[in-house]
Amino acid sequence: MSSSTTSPSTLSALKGAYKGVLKISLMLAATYLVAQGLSSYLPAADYRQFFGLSNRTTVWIIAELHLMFAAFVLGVPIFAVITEFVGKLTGEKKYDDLAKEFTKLLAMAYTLTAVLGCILLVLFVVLYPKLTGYLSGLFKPTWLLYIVLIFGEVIIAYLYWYSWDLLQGTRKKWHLLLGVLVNLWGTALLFVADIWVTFMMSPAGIDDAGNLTSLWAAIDNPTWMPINIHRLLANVAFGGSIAAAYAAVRFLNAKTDEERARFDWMGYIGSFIAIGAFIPLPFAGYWLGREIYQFSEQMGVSMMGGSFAWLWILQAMLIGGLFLASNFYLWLGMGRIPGAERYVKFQIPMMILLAIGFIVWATPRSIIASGAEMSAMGGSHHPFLGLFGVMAAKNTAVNLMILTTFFSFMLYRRGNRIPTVSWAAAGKIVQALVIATAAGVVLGYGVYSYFVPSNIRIGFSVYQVGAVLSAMALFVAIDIPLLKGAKEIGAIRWGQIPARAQYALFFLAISFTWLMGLMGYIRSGIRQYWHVYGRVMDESANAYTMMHGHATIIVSIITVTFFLLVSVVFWMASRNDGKEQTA
Amino acid sequence: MKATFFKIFAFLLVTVSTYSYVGQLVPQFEEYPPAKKVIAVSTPPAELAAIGEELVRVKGGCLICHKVTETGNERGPDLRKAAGQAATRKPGMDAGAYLLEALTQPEVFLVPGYPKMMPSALKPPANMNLAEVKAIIAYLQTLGGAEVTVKIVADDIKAAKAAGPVHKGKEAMGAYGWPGRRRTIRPASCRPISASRFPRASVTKSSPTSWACRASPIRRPAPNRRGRTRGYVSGW
Repeated sequence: MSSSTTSPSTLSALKGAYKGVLKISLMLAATYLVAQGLSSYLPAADYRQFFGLSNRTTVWIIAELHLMFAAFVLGVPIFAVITEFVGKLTGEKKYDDLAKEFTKLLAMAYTLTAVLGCILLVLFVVLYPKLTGYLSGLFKPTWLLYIVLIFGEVIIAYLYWYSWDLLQGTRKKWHLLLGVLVNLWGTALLFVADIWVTFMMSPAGIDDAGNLTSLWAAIDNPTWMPINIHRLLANVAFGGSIAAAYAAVRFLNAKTDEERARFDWMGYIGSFIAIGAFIPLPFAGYWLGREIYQFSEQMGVSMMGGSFAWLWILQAMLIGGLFLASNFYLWLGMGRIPGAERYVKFQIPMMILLAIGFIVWATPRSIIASGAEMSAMGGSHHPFLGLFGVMAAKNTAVNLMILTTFFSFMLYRRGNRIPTVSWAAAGKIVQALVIATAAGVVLGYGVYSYFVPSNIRIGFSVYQVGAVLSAMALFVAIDIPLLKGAKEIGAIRWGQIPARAQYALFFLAISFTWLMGLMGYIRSGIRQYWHVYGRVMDESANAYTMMHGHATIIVSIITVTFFLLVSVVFWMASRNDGKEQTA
Repeated sequence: MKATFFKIFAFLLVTVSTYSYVGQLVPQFEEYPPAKKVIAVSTPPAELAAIGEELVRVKGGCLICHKVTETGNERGPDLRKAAGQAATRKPGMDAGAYLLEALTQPEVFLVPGYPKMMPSALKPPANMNLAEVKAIIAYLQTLGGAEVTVKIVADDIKAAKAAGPVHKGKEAMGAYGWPGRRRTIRPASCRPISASRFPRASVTKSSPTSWACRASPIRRPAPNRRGRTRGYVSGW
């Protein structure tokens, strides 16, 4: 997708779509030729190295980068079209402009996603020829569907971008329809790609010899739908955080107050989307974890209590950091809201709660200790701190952190507003009771979890999650009519936010990206020495679980590379903006 | 603009370096695939128990839930006591039969206080054969301080050979070729045999005959950068 300035004509929209189709066709043709050429040229082998580099690490880096860009280009259109829809409903042009600003970021990102996808495909064919052959043989119909979906996505996405100015006014509904179609095709693409990944984790639909017995069973394997939902939410959260980082860059480089106000608002919306999608993400993660346990208890235990258990401590640190940073951003943002100073008193207690949650979540169950230390402790687990290392404590901590962040956002939302409805006082009391009840349920089940076995305990997370989600829904249901016709203390002073708030946005984007890399490694790593878990063994020299330290360095390399590539996307979007303003 | 870029880039490097640094602080270990062990009727009890220990630690993944030392996981019963308590677990069932059932059909009898969570050792991902299961029993017997009474019989070895190479990657993948065209691979060392003789050895679902293969030489993997050769399984 070219990021050149759009001109409102049907011809230019069609030309744009044509260019997109041509570009993707050329890329696919080149991929096929290179893959076939290398396969014929190179001596036959089950596995090959990449210029002396590990085939696993090479595929890992490219696959993760491809996944990150794919997440971005699938996530951004979801909230772009929602923003556009809000613009249509309210009639405020600023929402339409913001939706266009979001979509502009997709321009270069689509190309990078496609290029990385093509490189990945070549690497699969060349470095893992047998496995790729096996999987493509099993899933041939889905590969064909994937290609059809790619072309569909390209055509609709290009039309969506190039027809933005053309389909305005009464024709806006057709543009919104294009936006919805982009998302439907994008979601279908994601679901198809997830088939291959999840089959490798939790194979189904094959017999003992690895032959296909049911394509649908292989597609609808135990982890397919949980990963679909988990990735869908994660894509929105990730896309929002990257869009917010873009706004932060533009804010820091802004020359005028107007520009600062514009990108401050964009950063806020981006972070709101990221946090909004991030809050239900752990719940989708529980579902996925539950399905993994049900598919293979051994795989589940390896993930949470075996080789990969220590990486969850890192995950806890990252998520704790994300919660702290998002709250920090909201609290700094309250400084530009007249009247929000009323709620400053809540910030310290909320920060204490978040910090305690963070500490509990980051507490390991067992620690590496010498014999003397263990005898001093009375065992491998610390008699007191060990209690906080189990999932019962961690589930409780994360649910309370989610509730706190939600409360923080609700305070931000009503910062400059005073409810005027007659039942305002009663409504606020009910809201406080709702939050307190949810916190009580979370704590209660958290404590009770210590007295029941693990298979019952894991079910409690559903009740804790249910209580938090219900409380949030009920709170918002009361809040909307409560603030209807509320007295406004003053307008939000967009642009008047400290620069460090923008670094909080960068922190969110970097941490989300690193978290994606880490969780991707865990998801893939729990297959251990299997290509297809329990069915097709990895017989390469790389069929081992690497040290956590090495894995985290690779995740960092991926993150830095991703941001260097994303900075090109940002630069292209900013350059185009400059051209538009000059014109 | 350049200054902003460098500031942000420095911020990026500091953040990811912090995360990587924490990654270095957690315990570091590498886990390798299980090494191939040859079990024969003539394998001495001590060697059988040693093979069993290796199977418990690696291929079986047993220590994810059980413990064999004072410190360890307690999701499942303490394996040090398993052989000693086996004779009294189920009335009318001797220790050897109980341990065999506990490993191959763990859902039949659950030790009170423990949930139903153990997969059968005969199924993926452990995917052991009967000879390997018996090696584990030998290990459990030595772990409890008892004498190894379990015996490997010729049928265990035969059954193990017939069962392979069901989950071995190369054979399963060999049935397919890029770009997805299915083809039957017949290694040079294979000859067609009756499918009924080796019922689980068919290479593809559609192939009318199966292939009996001579034992292929074990191909050692390339050593890693520390010069350590990783474990290698040539199938079971």
